[in-house]
Amino acid sequence: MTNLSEPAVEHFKDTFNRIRTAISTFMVGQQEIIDDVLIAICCGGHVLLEGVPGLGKTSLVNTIAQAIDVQFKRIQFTPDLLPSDVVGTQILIDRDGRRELEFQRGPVFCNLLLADEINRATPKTQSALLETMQEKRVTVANHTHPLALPFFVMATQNPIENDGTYPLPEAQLDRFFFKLQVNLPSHDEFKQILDRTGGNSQPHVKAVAHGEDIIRMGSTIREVPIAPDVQDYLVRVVRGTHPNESAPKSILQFVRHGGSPRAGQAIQAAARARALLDGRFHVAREDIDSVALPALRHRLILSFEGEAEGIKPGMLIKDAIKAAKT
Amino acid sequence: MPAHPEIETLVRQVAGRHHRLLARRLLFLTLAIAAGFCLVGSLVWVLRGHAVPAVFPWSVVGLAALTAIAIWQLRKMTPAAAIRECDRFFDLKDAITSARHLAATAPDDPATGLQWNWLAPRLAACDPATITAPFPKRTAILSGLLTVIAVWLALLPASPAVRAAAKEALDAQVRIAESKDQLEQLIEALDKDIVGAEDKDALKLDEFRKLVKSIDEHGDRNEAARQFARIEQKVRDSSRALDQKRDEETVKLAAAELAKAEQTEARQLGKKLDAKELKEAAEMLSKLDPNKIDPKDLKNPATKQQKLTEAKEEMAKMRAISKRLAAAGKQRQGARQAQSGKGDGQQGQGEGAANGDGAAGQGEQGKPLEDLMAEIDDSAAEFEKNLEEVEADPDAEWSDEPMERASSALGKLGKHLKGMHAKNLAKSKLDQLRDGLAQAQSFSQGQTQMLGLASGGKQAGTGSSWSERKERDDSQKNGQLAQLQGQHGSGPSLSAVEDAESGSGVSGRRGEARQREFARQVESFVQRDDVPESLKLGVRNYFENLQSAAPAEK
Repeated sequence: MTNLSEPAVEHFKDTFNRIRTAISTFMVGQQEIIDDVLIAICCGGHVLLEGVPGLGKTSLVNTIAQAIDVQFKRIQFTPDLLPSDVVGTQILIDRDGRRELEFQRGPVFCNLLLADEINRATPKTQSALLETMQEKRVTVANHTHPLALPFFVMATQNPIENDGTYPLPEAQLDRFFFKLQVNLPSHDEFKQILDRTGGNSQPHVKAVAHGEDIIRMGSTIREVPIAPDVQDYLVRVVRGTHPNESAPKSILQFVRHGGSPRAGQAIQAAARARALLDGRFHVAREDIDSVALPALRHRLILSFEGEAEGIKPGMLIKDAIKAAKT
Repeated sequence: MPAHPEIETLVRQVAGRHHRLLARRLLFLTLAIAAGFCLVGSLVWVLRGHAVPAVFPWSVVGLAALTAIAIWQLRKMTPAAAIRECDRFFDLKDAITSARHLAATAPDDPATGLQWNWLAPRLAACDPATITAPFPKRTAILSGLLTVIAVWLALLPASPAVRAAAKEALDAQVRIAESKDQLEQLIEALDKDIVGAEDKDALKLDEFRKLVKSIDEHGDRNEAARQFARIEQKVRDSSRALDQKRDEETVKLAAAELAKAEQTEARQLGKKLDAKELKEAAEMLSKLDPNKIDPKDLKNPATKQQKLTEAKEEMAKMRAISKRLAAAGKQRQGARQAQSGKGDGQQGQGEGAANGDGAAGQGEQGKPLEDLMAEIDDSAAEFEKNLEEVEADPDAEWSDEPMERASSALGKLGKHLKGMHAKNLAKSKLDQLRDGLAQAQSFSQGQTQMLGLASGGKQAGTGSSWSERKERDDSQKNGQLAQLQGQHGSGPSLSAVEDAESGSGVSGRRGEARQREFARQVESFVQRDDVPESLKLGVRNYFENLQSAAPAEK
């Protein structure tokens, strides 16, 4: 028995629209990115934003934090950043003449963490986020510290500056719910950005939702039913990204490893959110198609040939979807 | 599954709609393919001049229909596919799939209600009639065109040449069958005519009966000609094996000698031999057999004179005949010796003839007829001598031996003559059979219009044309009547007036007659189908040139 009720659905749609509207008061264009980020947040997932500098990645996260009214922290990842700088550390303090070790919380103790230019930190520091992102807790000196909910990480990375960067390992990439590629704004959007940001008055984004709303939205999403046939389709899409016998030729040629079950979980959750946003109470195949790309593109590990050919994962995912439909 | 009936109805209607559209598409596609196939197949027949057999287009259409039905059944929408098609076509975004699932698994769930509330108004707007597919105009036009052309080709009649060939083949089959039938009847008739077991053995009719039965009625004309020719060859060989020309010449000489005799019996015997009534001649010879004399009768002087007088009378008759026969035998032997004494150039030929005659002319225990005749005369002379001795000397011993030897010699000659008669009869029957085969071959080749081997004429009610009532030309028994008629009409005349110089000399008439006979035989022989056309032409030209050539000046 599910608890999907009309008020819950209304709350979801209403809250989502309010947040979207609030964000749009500052952000110009990027509607798809905003929707995907919000879907990921509602589903309790983390987002990796990839784009060249100056496209508003950090601004987007800042705006979302303002609109949701949650505790927001930002870490600028640099090569000398230490894990303790992320999760916190124990420091020796003198308390009433007694010297004792006290855990000093790092910036991850927040609701929304912006990991700016995450690929500039060393793998050791990057891996410090692993437990945090998956388990939503921090363990330091045998003490586990739970994080406040909702918790989500918004990481950004620059795809063109590779000097002095440390590409995220597959295990860490798989933790991200979505990987979104932020593209250049259109001509009109560009002008609007200039108009909004060129003057003295800075647009102020009002908080239109709270952390509890996000948690409730996540709960609503999980109630959306999905038919076995549609679920079969989802599984076929994810399994189709693996280079097995039934995979399309391009996958066989260019993919070394495909999407994980975690990818399937992400797609199912995001598809449910899409269905609700579309006003439906069931998941459709087209919902899966619409979220497959951001959920799978960072989870495909290309073969040497794929890397050498500069194959984009988007093309391979389209092939997998096409194969799943037949 | 407790699904909503509206959903099930819609799914059923959509599936039905798709099945109808699929059937329409398959119909035109199948028609186009079948018509194309028929067209190509018909073209093959038509280009070869044949009419398209009716079974071909019908079987193609039948096969195509079966294939189309099978494909339609295989490609019919499954219920799951129909549900998916409903969702896709009406843009219901998997709502029907989800609704059926929710109704089946959680009918009381609030989500089920919400989902149905979302779906119900949209479902009401779904009209299966809106599922359309463009009419397959190109396929329809193509199939129509191909069908029209294929039907036209299928209805085209066979070319005149093919029709004529078919008719000819059918006619040939009928003629072969009729020839075979009549040959069988002829063999049966020949079999009935011959009563004696020896005569039947000489004929070997069973072998020919088997050969005739083995004729393939369904073969073509050439094959039939070959089969008839093979049988004819066998018959000719058998007939040749029965040839007894040498003995016949001896008999002819004997008949001539006997005709000179003063005794009536001898002349009668000569007449019988001349008429080749050998069986009757043999019976007459058996009557000449002297009665046995009992030695007791010779001891009594009263009966002795009577018996001796009777024996002498019988002896005189026998001697008159035996002397003539012996003279004929000597003539024959002289001729044989003269023939064997000829030069080396003619030796081979002479030997061949002698061998041939010898094989046919060996009498009882392998003796030639002339030897048997000499033996009769010798034994008759001995018997006569014995009679004279007994008559002259009353104490002389009577011996039966010379009389028995004379009697035995007469018996041998009679038996030989009877054997000759049987062989003659068998040969004539074989010649009849050979003539019949030649006529049957000619008839099966369509060179003659009628075959009258069997006796009794045609069946009641079966008419005949004027041309078929023409008199048979018995001078030509090789069956090649058509060709020979042509020679009669347009060829050079075969009759000629001999200009002979006065006085004694050798006329060339006989030689020319032989030449014409030879030409006729050769031309008749080369009319067979297995002789190349060039050879036929060459032979014809050769004899025409011979006939038209002026005689060399002397």
